[in-house]
Amino acid sequence: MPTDLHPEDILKSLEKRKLAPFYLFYGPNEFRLERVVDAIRNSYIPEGARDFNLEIGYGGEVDAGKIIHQAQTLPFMAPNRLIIVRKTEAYTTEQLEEFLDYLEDPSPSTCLIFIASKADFKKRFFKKIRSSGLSVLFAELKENQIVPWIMRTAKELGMKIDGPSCAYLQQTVGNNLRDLYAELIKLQLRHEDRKVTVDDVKELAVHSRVYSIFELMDAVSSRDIGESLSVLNRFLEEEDKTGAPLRIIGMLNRQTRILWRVKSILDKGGRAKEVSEKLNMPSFFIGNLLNQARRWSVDDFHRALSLLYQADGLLKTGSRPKPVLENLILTLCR
Amino acid sequence: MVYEVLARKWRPQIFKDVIGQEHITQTLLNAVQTDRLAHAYLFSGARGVGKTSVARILAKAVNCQNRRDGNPCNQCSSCVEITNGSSIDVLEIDGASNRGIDEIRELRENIKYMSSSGRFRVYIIDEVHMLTLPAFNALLKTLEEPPPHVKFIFATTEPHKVPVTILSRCQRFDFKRISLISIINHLEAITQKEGIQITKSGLAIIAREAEGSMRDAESLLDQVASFSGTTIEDKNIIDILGIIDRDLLFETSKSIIEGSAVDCIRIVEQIYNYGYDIKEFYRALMDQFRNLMVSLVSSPNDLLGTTDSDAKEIKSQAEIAGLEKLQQALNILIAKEEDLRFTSHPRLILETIMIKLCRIGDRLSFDELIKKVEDLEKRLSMSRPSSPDTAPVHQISESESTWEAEKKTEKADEPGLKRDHDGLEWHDFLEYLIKKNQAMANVMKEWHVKEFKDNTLELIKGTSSFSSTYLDDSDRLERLTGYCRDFFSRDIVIRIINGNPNHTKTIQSQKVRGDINQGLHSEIPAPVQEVIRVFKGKIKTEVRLDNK
Repeated sequence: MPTDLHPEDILKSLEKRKLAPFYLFYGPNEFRLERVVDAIRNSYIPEGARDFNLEIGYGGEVDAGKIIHQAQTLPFMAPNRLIIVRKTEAYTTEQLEEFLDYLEDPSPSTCLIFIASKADFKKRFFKKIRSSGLSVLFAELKENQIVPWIMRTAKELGMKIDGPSCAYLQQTVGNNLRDLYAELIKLQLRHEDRKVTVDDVKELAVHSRVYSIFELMDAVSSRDIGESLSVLNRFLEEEDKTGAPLRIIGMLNRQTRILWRVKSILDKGGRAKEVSEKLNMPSFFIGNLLNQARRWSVDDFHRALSLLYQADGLLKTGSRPKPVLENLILTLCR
Repeated sequence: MVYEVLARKWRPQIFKDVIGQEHITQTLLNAVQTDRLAHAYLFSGARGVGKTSVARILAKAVNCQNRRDGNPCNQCSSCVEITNGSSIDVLEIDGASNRGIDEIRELRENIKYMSSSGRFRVYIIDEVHMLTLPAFNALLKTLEEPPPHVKFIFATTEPHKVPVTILSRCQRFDFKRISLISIINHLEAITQKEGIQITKSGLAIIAREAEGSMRDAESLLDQVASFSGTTIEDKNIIDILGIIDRDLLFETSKSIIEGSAVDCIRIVEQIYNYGYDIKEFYRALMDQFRNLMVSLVSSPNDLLGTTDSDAKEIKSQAEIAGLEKLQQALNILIAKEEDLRFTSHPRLILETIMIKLCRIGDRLSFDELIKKVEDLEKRLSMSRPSSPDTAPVHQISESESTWEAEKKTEKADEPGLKRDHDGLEWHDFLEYLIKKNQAMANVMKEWHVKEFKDNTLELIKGTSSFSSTYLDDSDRLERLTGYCRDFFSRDIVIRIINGNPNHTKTIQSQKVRGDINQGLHSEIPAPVQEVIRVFKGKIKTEVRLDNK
């Protein structure tokens, strides 16, 4: 069974200027994929010759025949040609078959890169590239690799950022590397050489909503009415008005059910590790969840869910969201 | 000269002038200075928070010929052209009306041409979320392979409607709503420069109405200023913007807290006559109760969004009412909002709700009732003995023992001084009073004599709310003194004392004994006596339950 190449292998070949005549780049890690493609584009063809030797086509839009024709053309004023085919998965099976003859006998001066978000190796086209040992998998980073990735990337950018800020960034932005990278660039522009703290991330990062719900739930769990209301208000203020209230209800609901599950695991004598496994959640969330869950009784959960249900009904029949939500939070806290 | 509305006249022209978005403007400023611009930006946020303004400033900044610290000079030809909207390098496209694939195709056709005078061609697409899906896909290709001389700036109020593929290729900035204080300060600066006289509380009203949008705030100020000229009274603002008067709201909440239904009805009448929208008033009332409640649970004023003097009044009202009552009121208000929405008689509904609110104090909340029942169950289960058979006997003997205690207190009171020296009793006076003034007699039956010595009659107030305040009316007191003079044939001074429950009880039981016929067994427990009294019955046979 032939295996996929690693992105690092491609970069090494590029350094030696020994790229194969064709590749398949596939996988969900779009950010890494684009970075590798960029690296190839920027160094494989000299800048002055790109107009003649670089072609970009989209799967399904440009005929296979045309791409093959381009690939067979000799380079002009440069040693190589580079052809990038995006969205390869958009070609039909028949169209893909048309490439097979070319793949048997590719032009040695051309590098043809097929980019696909998914590759179906049952199809002969993909199977052929893989068996030639030229498919490159851009795998998604695992949950626990994200924070180290952020720290590494920040270091590459020459930024100073501490661990908690990186963790916070991951919580608010998510695991999409491209989004994370964009946030890092923004932070760097904003703060230049200064050290970035959690507050700085909070100020600048987009969609900080996920974290606010944690804060809200935390405040509600500790029955701190003032803090709960102020978190809620901040939340309503920063969000757009139309969708926010229902989203809050939805997220509170989800969080309540999670806490209930945590509680029931704890009641049966489970520990943090078990909670983490059963809920399939990263361990740094668990400590907080445990603390929150301990402050709730089973009756509280019943009550909370029925209150959420009521509030949901009120919102959907056109009551004004702010009083309903504030009243909900207040009743939950008492 | 053509009049220019405030919102346009005071549109920020450099990054520093943008209010409340420092986190964004500073970042963009740094990006311009260090020449590290992204090829596409996406500005999201509510209306009137500065998205388009920042987009224009950015467009000017990147093309300005003599930039100062990253800010555009606003004087060079490029800046002036962009400000006028006549620049051919900066295209402002309204995404809502150019939303099809054809427009985007045309855009892509033109994009390859270099800019004419400036460094970059800047495309500002407002309301970008309105583009159709094919249009987005066409745009995506440009974003994937952006020509180096092109910058895109998208502005949208609804970023969640923009496809993720587009989002992830832009540098995103979330614009925040502008805080109340920032709006007030900015409006204050404008009014000073424009020579408009207005109070700070007036500005606060406008700022609150604007809900975090600077453009709305400026438009409202414009509206008010064009109506009342350079001197603006708070009253004008309230009238023009159709806002419910704060004083009226305070009066309403006060009446509700005091439980004065009469005042509430009067206020509704007033609102109706003023021509306020009743639903609008109801919303304001909800906010009022919300503010009352919030003032109790959190100390800082930032949640209230009111001026200091209002905050003080709110706090004092809230303390009188208490959290429990306020929350009940708010619960009712929220639950009943729907009734008001679908009715054709808003006034009637409002009155009903107001009266209901007034009576909150009279009833226990559901939670309290449940708590009471639970307490009772607990007490019952604790006092219940092991064998159920003995329970009733035990209870009767218990009531007997209290009855004995009552007897003792009664005996102690018996030689009391309810009889004046002529032998005329209070009891006799009441009979006389029935003939003279039936209404007063009925009330006075609930009152009791504490002491009657010489010319001073000390009366203990009745317990019900009506009878206890009956003699607060000086007319009635005078009339009663008159009756006393007639009956006892001398001047009597009446002194009123607040009720003492123990005392009342003994006298009541004495009264019961006087009413029922003499042949009754003196050992009858109090509840039985009560039954006999209510049904005017007699005891025919007596069956003893205990085995003694």
